[in-house]
Amino acid sequence: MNWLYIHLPHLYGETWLADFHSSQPMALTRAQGQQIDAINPAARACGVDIDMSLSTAFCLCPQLRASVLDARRQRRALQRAAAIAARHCAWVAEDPPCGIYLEIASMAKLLGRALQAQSTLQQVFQQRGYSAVIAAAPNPKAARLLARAGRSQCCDQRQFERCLGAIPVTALGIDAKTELRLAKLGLASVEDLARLPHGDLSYRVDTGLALYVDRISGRQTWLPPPFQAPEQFRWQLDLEQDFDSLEPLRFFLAKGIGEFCHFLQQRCLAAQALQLTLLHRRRPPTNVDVRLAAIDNRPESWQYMLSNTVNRLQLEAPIIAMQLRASVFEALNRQERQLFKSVSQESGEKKSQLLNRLGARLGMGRIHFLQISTDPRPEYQTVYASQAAVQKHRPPAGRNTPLWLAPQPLPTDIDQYTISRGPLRLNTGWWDRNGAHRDYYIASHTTLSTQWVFRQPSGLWYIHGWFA
Amino acid sequence: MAGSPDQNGGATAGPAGFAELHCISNYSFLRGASHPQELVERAIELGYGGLAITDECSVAGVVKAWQQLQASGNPAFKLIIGSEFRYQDDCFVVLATDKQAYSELCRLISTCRKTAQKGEYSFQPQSLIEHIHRGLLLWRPAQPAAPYLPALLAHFRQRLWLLLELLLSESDEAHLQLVESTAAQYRLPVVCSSYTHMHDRSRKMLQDALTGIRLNQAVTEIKQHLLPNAENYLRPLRNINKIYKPAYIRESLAIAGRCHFKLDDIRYQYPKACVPAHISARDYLRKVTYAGARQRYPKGIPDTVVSTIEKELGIIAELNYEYYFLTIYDIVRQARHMEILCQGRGSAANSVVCYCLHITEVDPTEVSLLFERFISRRRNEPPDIDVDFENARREEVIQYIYRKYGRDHCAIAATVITYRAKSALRDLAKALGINMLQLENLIANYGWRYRGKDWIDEVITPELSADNHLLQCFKQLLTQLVGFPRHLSQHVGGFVISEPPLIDLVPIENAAMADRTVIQWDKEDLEALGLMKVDVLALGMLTALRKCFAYISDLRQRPFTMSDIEKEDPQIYRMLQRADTVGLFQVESRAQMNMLPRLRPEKYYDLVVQIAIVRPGPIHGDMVHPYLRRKHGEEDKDVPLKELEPVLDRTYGVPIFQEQVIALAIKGADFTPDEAEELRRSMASWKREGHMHRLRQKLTTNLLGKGLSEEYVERICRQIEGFGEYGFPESHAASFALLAYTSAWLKHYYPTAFLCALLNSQPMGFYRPWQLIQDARRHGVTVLPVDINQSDWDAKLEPAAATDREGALRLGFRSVKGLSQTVAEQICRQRPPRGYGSMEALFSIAGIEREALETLASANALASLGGHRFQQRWQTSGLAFYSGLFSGQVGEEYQIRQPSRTEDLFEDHASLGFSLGDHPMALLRDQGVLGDCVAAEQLAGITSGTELYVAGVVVNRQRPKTSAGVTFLTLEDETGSINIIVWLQNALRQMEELVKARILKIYGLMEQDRSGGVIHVIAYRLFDISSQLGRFNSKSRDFH
Repeated sequence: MNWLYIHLPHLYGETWLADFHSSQPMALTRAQGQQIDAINPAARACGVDIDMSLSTAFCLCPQLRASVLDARRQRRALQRAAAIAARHCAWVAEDPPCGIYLEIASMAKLLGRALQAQSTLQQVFQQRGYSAVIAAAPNPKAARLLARAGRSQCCDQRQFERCLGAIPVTALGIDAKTELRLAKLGLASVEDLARLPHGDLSYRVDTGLALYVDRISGRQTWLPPPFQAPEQFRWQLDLEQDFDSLEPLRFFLAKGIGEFCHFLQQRCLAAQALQLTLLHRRRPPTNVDVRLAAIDNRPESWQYMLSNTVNRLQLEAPIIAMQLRASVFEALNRQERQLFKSVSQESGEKKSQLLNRLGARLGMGRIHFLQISTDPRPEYQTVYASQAAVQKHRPPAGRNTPLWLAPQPLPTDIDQYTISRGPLRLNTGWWDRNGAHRDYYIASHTTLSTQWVFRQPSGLWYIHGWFA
Repeated sequence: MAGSPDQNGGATAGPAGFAELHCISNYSFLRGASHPQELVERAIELGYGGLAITDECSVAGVVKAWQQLQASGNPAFKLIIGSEFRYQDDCFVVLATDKQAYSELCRLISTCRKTAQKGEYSFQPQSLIEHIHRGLLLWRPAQPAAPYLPALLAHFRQRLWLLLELLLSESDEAHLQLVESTAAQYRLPVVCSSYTHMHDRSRKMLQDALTGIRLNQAVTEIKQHLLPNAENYLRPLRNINKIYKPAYIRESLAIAGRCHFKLDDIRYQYPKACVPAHISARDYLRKVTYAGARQRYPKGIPDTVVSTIEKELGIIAELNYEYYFLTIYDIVRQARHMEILCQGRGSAANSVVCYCLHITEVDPTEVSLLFERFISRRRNEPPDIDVDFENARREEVIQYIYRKYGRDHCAIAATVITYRAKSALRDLAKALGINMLQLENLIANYGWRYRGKDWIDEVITPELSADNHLLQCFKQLLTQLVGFPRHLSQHVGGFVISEPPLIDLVPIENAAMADRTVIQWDKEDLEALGLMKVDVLALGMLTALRKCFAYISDLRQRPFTMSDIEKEDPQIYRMLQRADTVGLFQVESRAQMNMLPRLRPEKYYDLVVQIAIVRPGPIHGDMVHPYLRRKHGEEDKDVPLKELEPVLDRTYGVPIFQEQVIALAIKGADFTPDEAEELRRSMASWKREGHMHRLRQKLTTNLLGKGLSEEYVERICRQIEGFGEYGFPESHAASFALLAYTSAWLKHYYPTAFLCALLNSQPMGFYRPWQLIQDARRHGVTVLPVDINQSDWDAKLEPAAATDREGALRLGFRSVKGLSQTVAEQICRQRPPRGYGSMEALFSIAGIEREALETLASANALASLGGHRFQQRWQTSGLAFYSGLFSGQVGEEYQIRQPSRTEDLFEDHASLGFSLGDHPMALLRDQGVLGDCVAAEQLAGITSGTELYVAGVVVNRQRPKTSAGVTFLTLEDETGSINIIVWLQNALRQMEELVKARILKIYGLMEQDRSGGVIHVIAYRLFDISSQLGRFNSKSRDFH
């Protein structure tokens, strides 16, 4: 028994839906589809099935909570589960959407025999809230088949063969067309397939199926590609004594930052966020987010930001250890890997430096980027964003609108104005509670300033901006 | 100070009127936000001098606008017909000045539409020069010097205007500058417009939502595509005068003054190709009518018939309808010539002339039908003759019409697909960004069939969104959107034929189907303009009947036709009374089968009533039980008013048919003929407020005034409401009853031929082949399996030697799922005289594919070659191998196990949809799974009121509109079918079993009515025993 396979039938729900095992019936549907892809036990109890149409499901269970299954989150859920498995085994492989292969022969000393390994992992996954079916077999595809068929009890060669033979072809997970071809030949179990003259299965039914059966029976060797755990940076320093202040520890933190930047540069990566965790003796740890304005991998940028963050920090208890952690990285642009910097690169860097400095002083949360929205209402046309982004919609050139807009329209008396242009009528925004029904005019005030005023259907006039 | 255009006072003095010349209605689908009627009504209200409906490359909405104008009685108002064409950012509006200009416009639209995908158009400014020689052109430029401008200027001399559209938006200034500078440069006049999208500003919200629907995104995601304000509406004249220079406004009136075309100018001319040369239509109609009459009455035409013919011919001549009758006569005659069975129905069945021309088969002298219902002098509209043709060959008739009358002279009428509750809900929810999954839940669980007036409030609940404001918008939009046109589709069979090219009357565009063309007007538009429409409809039963006649002719060695069928055969009525009607026309549904033993038809007219009585009208009106009681003498015949006797006498005083209710309104409630006609046309809107409310009031007051009881009047009102859901006139029922009787006669005397015809005409009817075969076998028909050496593509009769008796039915290859007709015919063509002797012989059929042989093996069609189906499938699966490179080698004889009884059953159902071997329920009974379940055939011997178990395969689930939440199930076991009634409470409690089960076991109460005919079981408990037969998969006919 060289391989284990962990089948996680409720992986998505158990990862992303906190109350998946509650009494609330839940269903997940495929994107854009009306077919159900996964359900929780409460939904099953109401008669809802996988592959059922959503309208039938709602008919059976009106209180059903349906949500759309997100392919990206599904991949992340499997990555998480594989990362857990990777803590116990050197060779782990993902089998989307909800399975993991584990090579256990080479880990026998650490994990024990198959049965032990199986029970250890069962416990590990159970503790983390996963319902896992784990099966052992001499090769990965056989382990997969056993797990998916719910046969997790076999642990020696003889049991394995008996178990495998009795598995119905419907558990193979092959496409419906091939499954039907087998049924029409009266071939019902894996044993029936294995007994066929070699080669017949290939040309009479399906070449892919013949290969699959060979891999299950071990006639063909197949090994899954090993899982690459996502990069993570972790640095920890256990202190020999309790420290009431971070001041004496700056040197160590600088060392940590050095290691972090080295980690990034080695991999041609950059990061925007790093987490500093300070551990206390009898209190929960203090987490501090260190965030730059843009991705970076240079020690001076991170050093500066960390130092300023630490300056603002008030310690509530002595520190016994420090950690630095980062898990989200971005690959550096090709440009940034060049030896000589271009002018735009340099100005970009200067902009980042400035933003970092501002962020260090004010806190990153207080820095906003301006964006232009497509909303026709002037007060909604400029919006704050936490990240700079490319502007998709550009406003038309030559607009007769002022650059200086009043934060709130100010009531005014129209008699003090001479109207020079207008009206420009706005009647929109009904989709929220702030619908605008206004006639805009450009008008000169008695003070000789040119202003942007509007009139509401009620007859009241407001100033909304000033022209230069 | 420049004031707002809406402000009172300060308005500059301007021209007295204005004509809006660029206005799109909601027939510019998902762009315009007002109905054409609303636009006309509002323009008149505002004092406009005229309005041009200029939908985008379409005139689909103009008839509605014209009807509104007619109704408003405002002859001074000018309705102009035009169309808008967009090219890049430029916009062109073509206006029709006279009949010829209108024809040019129709041809331009047709060209643009025919060269594009369905629903789209392809336009080049060059097309304007090619097509428009008399029409006027308005041009809204987007660039100062368009390359096509010189050509347009030269072609449209004195007929080209620049279109100025100031909408109080940012682009106004630039647009004004461009238009005025272009006008000065080329000396072109300028005309102004509001580029109207809606009749009132309040529709702005709907206009935005429609844009969202059109772009398939939420409005908040596409703000850049929304109009910035609501100025694209019919502005009050005051505003117009304030925005535009008087000269531009005056120009609009000048243009309107040049447009004289009215839709009334369309003079429809009937096609003349149907009349031979050198004879007038009138004489020809007379000639063929009397020739037909002599055939119909071979013993001499009765005097009454002659006088009726003369009366009808008189009216026809007076109204000039000869060509109409002769066109239909021509189509029907051609169909007969091509040996395609056809029969007219509907109000045409009221006419002796139609009967003599062989358009209809009902002898109007036998049934008291009213010719006035068909055509009357008063109603200035062509009669409506619907003709059913064999569904399988209707396309041949359609292509004949195209050939005979010319593709430019005929096309299919359009059907406007409008927003209904569910489609409006879905589309609006998407446009408002509302959670679609939650909405689907609401839609799935809302009782649509029983919705009342407040359905919007019941459907739009806070569960849909936490944003109360958005929900309010949703409700408001929903009210407006329901009834809005969504797109054009083709009518089921309404053909329009005209003598001059049809393309000059209305644009023709491509239909989704190949070789079909469709016009832009629907049935109501055609009626309004008096254009002739012939309904060329398809009926599956006619195909089956024709085939059945052919089989019987072969069997008897002499032709067999409809006239060979003996009328009023008591044996047939006895069969109908037993509800032995599986496979028959019209009387085979579950509801009809329940009614037959109660109504107990004894003559043709009973059958007419039988067909019409199981409909929403009589059921809603609670007319069924009084009719049954009176028919069986349990209650005296009672006509509520003496003057109603001629109307209600034939149905024992109980109004059953739509015609009777209308006659009751005329004679009982003193309705004028116009009001009665209005009542007939608008029964669908009986419940709604408005003009129908007035008719309802009058009906109620007058009937009560004549001493009828309040309860009776209320029932009449409910009946009218029911007719609104599904109108079913007596003349329809009369035609259908003939076919029902014919099918019953054939089933009784030639059950094998009848089954054969039904199987060869699939898909059709209420029952699947499985049920038809089960029923026929219970009637003693021998059904032989599909066989490689015996079967043809179609099922066929294998006559018993040397007799004209029917013998057995041999199933055809068409029953084998997945086998193509070409392959089957190949097999038959290459079949040696003694048949295929071995598997190898099959391998040598030229062009045969492995899949085809495998399919035949699984259907057990190779049984005669020896071995069982698994083994044969195994052998055929090696075809590619052994007939290819390794053809010299003999395949290794691997022995596959024999299928079990259950597996044989599965395979039969999977490959054929039925099994000639075991019935699944027989199998379960043998296995002891059914325990003490009573078989269908034993039910009749059990006392009514007994509680018992029954079980069967679910073959039908039904929740009719007329029943208050009751679900009807039909189960089938090896001995027959069992009717189950599930009350709402029980259905809700056991929804899973009710919806999902393929095989059900039911504990319930057996009930049998007094006549002993109708047996049903009222379900108490439902048990899903589908798992007992694992892979068994039979399809039920669910909630159709």
